[in-house]
Amino acid sequence: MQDERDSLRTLIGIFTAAWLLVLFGTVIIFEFIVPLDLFHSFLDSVVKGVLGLILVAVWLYLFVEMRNHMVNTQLRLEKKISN
Amino acid sequence: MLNLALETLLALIISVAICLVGTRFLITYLPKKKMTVMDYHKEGKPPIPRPGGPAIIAAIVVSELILFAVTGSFAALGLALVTLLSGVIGIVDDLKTLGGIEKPALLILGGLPLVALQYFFPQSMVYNHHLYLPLFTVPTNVPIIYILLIIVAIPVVTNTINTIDVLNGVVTGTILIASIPLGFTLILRYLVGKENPYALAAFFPFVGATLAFYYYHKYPSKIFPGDSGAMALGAAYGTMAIIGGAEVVAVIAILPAIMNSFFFLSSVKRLVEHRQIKSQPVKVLDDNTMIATGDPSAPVTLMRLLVGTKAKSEKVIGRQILELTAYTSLLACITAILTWVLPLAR
Repeated sequence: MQDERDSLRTLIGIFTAAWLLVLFGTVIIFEFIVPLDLFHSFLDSVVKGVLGLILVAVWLYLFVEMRNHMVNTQLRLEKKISN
Repeated sequence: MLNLALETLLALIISVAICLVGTRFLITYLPKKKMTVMDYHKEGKPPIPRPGGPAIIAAIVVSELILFAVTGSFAALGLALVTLLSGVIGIVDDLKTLGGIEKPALLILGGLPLVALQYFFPQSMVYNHHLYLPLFTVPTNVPIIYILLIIVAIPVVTNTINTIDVLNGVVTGTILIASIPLGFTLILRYLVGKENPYALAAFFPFVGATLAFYYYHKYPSKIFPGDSGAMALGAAYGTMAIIGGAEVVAVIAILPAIMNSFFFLSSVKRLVEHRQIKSQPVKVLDDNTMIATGDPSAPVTLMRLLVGTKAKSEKVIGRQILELTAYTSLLACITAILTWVLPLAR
């Protein structure tokens, strides 16, 4: 059986990860991606756009994975209790 | 400066008074018009008056308009107009339930007053299109993207705050707690000379209305805000973040509400009203505690994740959601320091 504050602690972990991802994501975008000037042409904008989208995709993927991990753990526990 | 402080105090008193009197009136008026909903998490499922939103809308709009009249602050006017527009859409939603796509589509109108005010009165500085980011000394100038950001951010924040209105006192408590880092940022910005005092002045009547409504909405609720109240508060919060230049801080502070929306949308995979969901994530037991249903097809929500396999009372779940908001508000305050204080030290 879960402790009353177990899920609260897990969510605090998820929110801390979200906060760190926002901070690091901002630094990666504005410190590294925005100043990119590889081809000195419109291709730079395309590269920046693609890199930005990849970053967003990675961000969303990490969150879906964290959510799935928490829900699956919960569902396993629920099954165990009902058995 | 003393004059502005007194005018702000006047607007704050008016805001609190209108919200207290208006809510008190609605608590007696709405049941006479049979405008009540059952409180499913209480013994005997008592009828609770709903919506209390009109009191919140009236308090914010009237006090901010008075502030605009006496100070000429376009920030206050912008806050009043966005709250009014989003609140009216919320009232329509309370009276005639809007669909999962109609509601966000209509809410796009919410951000337009800010863009229009800045366009027609460029000297008014309703908002600043320089985006200040944590750890960066120089702001990013994004004039076009910022307009798009406003048009998208207002409906997103409004809807996000509306989705956290799940238990007694949660939505108003969330806004109140998340307003602490917002106020902290406004003060920091003012101290480092990046903010005029008018945005800070507009902040107080908004918080006053929220606090006054929370008095009646806290557990056990005497009234529910409804979509109109939750949406007005969400729109006002989003507007304060924009006119106060505290966009990133505001986002961090309401992470529990944002993640609740994200969990929900990523599990149902479409824009849908909560009322249309067949599988419920949480069930109420005979002793009025709540537990996760264990239905894998039910949407994932913050409440489902919090409840888990241990039955919890409404009071405990509500308190834990507010604890999470207090934690993210602390992270938001750290973000404000990383944005406004740390770059100065470099």
